[in-house]
Amino acid sequence: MASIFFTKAKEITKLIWYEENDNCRLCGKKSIEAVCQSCREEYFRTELRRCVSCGKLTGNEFTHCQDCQAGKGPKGLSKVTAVGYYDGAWKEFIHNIKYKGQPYLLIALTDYLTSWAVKQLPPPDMIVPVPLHPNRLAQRGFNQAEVLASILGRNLGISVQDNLVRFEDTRPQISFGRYERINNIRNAFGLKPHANIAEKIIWLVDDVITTGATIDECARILRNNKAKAIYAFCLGAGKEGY
Amino acid sequence: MLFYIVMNNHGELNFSPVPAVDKLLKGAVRYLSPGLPLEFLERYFGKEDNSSENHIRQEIILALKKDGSVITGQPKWLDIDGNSPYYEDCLKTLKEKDMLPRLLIMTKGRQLSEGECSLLAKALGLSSIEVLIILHKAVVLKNGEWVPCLYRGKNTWRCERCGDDHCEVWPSQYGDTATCLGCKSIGALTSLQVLFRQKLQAENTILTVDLVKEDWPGLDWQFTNAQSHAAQELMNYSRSREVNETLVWAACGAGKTEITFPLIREYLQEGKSVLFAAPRQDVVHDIQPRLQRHFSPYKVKILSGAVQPDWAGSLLTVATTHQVLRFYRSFHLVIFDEIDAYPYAGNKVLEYGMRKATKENGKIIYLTATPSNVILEKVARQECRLIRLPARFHGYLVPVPEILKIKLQANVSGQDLLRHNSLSAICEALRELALIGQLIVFVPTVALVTEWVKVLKLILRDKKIEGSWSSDPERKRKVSAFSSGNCDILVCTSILERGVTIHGVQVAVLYADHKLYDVRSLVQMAGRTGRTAACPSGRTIFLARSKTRAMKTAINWINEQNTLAISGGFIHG
Repeated sequence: MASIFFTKAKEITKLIWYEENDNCRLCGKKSIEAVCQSCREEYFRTELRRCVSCGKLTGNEFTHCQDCQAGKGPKGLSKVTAVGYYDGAWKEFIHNIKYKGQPYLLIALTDYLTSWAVKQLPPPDMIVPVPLHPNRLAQRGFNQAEVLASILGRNLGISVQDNLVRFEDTRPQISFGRYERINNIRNAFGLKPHANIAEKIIWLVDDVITTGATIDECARILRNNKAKAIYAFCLGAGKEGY
Repeated sequence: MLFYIVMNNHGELNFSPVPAVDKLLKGAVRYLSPGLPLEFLERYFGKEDNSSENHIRQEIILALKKDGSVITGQPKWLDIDGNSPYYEDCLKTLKEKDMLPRLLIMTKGRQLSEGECSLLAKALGLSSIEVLIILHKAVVLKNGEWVPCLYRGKNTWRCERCGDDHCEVWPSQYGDTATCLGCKSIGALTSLQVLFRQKLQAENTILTVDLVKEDWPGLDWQFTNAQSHAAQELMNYSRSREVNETLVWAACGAGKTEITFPLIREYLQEGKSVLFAAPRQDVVHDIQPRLQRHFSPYKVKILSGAVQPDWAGSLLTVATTHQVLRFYRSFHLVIFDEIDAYPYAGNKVLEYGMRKATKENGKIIYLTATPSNVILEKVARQECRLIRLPARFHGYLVPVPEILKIKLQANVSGQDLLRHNSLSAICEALRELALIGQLIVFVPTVALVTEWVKVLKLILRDKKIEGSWSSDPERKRKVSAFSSGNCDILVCTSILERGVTIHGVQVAVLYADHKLYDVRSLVQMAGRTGRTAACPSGRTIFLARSKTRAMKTAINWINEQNTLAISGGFIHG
């Protein structure tokens, strides 16, 4: 009885003196902001350019990374932006969302993600998440790309439309090299019947872009169905040495 | 999984993940696209809603807006025809008549999450869509139901699998969505998902499939008088209709598991399902072969996080308490070992899961040597019957702990400890115990383990001394060295508190007045002595600055058990 009383009392006290969670969501150290300055400097690297084609963080003065200059990256997108370098604590954070069933971790980053997206990309007519295959969706319970799209959509008042469908339960891209990835993903997606995307500006949203094979394939479907322009937004991408 | 509103020619509504099944089996003609989470549909629409198609469409748009959804497209009513999702698959799969009964046997008593449905599909060599079609066929034929994983209340969400309302909310395109944290350890569920449950009617038609009818040779265990007495009482209580729960309060080392065997046998022979659950994996893996030996005509199924899911039907299941969350109104009899042990003790989620896995009017039996206050209060309120099994199987009394007063505090360490004036008395007592047999020295913290190993190695130089604790990488080796007699004294934390039988072992509890030691842990530690028939006696010493209430109660419990054992005539001589 006494323990129940004290638990309740503690809860009520918390309500009155609102305890702010003041730890960095990436490194766990004290921070007023959701991601502390040192993690932002290490992973978000706002001073670095993003490759226009694949979103990779690059230190050079060119609009495209070396791979994309050599014609290897995705070609069907007007611009791609990645929030940060997919490595270390940022990578772990994304893995916690995806593989440990914690989509709610993204909420703390809502403002940062939204402001990054609007700074980098022109306003869209709709946001389209990269779909998961139904089998994987059943296992995971949610599509992390859809959660990300919903966070942006809700905050910006833009419609989210899951117009794409994934036919093939492809092997995780992680197990492939670049060329295998492109073959693995070919014909894996389609447009849902009754979807209307003609003349629309679209933000395609995914959690991570590595070679860009997945978003390139999604963009191809959207382009073939007369989308006006396609931009891509993701949480993490690679980084080019400089 | 998303659900569509389907409608037949009479305007009757239903929710379906595959509208084509509803058309082919029930004559539904139209469905509203896009699909939506079942939780959303159930919250806003009753199936007996007689509204027009247009009205429902408008209602959906308003409801999505109200929930903060970011979907803006207009829902459309479409005919269910060859272009509908999975129509061709339905035509093919529904022709397979024997699939439904097979699947119902495999899923009997379970509540399947969507993730488990894909595992089931793999086990059957079918596609996920085929399994979905068959499961929905079961629902249409009223053999099963779809249930949203989480229900939304006014300010909270509640998980339908574990009953917990400890959830994290996040935005999906349908608005606020929740993930349950209570049962995350067996795969997190979100409010976008559903569970498949069989309905009770379905069960009656298929339950006899795994029933073994053959005659059973005589039982190969022998009971002591105390055990026979308790087993008989247990049989009588389980036939009573008034109270469904029974607590078996046994002395440590009384052979409490075995007294449930006659009852298990009776249930199995009547074709009723039995679950034997324990909080820890090692207990489950230890009990399964024992049960299999005793109930050889039946397959004893094992479910724990350490083994692959087993879909074969079985009347007797052994599971860790977490796995029990996967069942729904499944068992006629649930036997629950070591209810006061971590992680079950005080865990509301697991308790809820246990209740849900038991059939309505099913019987629950709790086995423990150290019942919690909660269950003792239940006994006092007569909501639970009590059976005592006070005597050990070898017919000797449980050694009553002695108390040795010392002036040592737990924070004294290093040189201070070596110079402390209580040290010689403590070491003398330990030396005395070590002369009788191997000795376990319990201490409350890991730091004290290392501290005391050092001290004892200095003072009792002729003894082989080791120390271990739960995360000690060498724990297994040290414990097995001690069990096989290759070590004289083992200093440890609570790791050897339960479930361990070591021939001729003596026990010392250092700092027995420490706040970590409650009555239950003290009784369990004392219960390590005198467990074998060849060596039924032993000594336990509580070394403490003062006699705490927990120490007094522990000694009272043991004395009371012993008195009961004597008055019941269960003690030799």
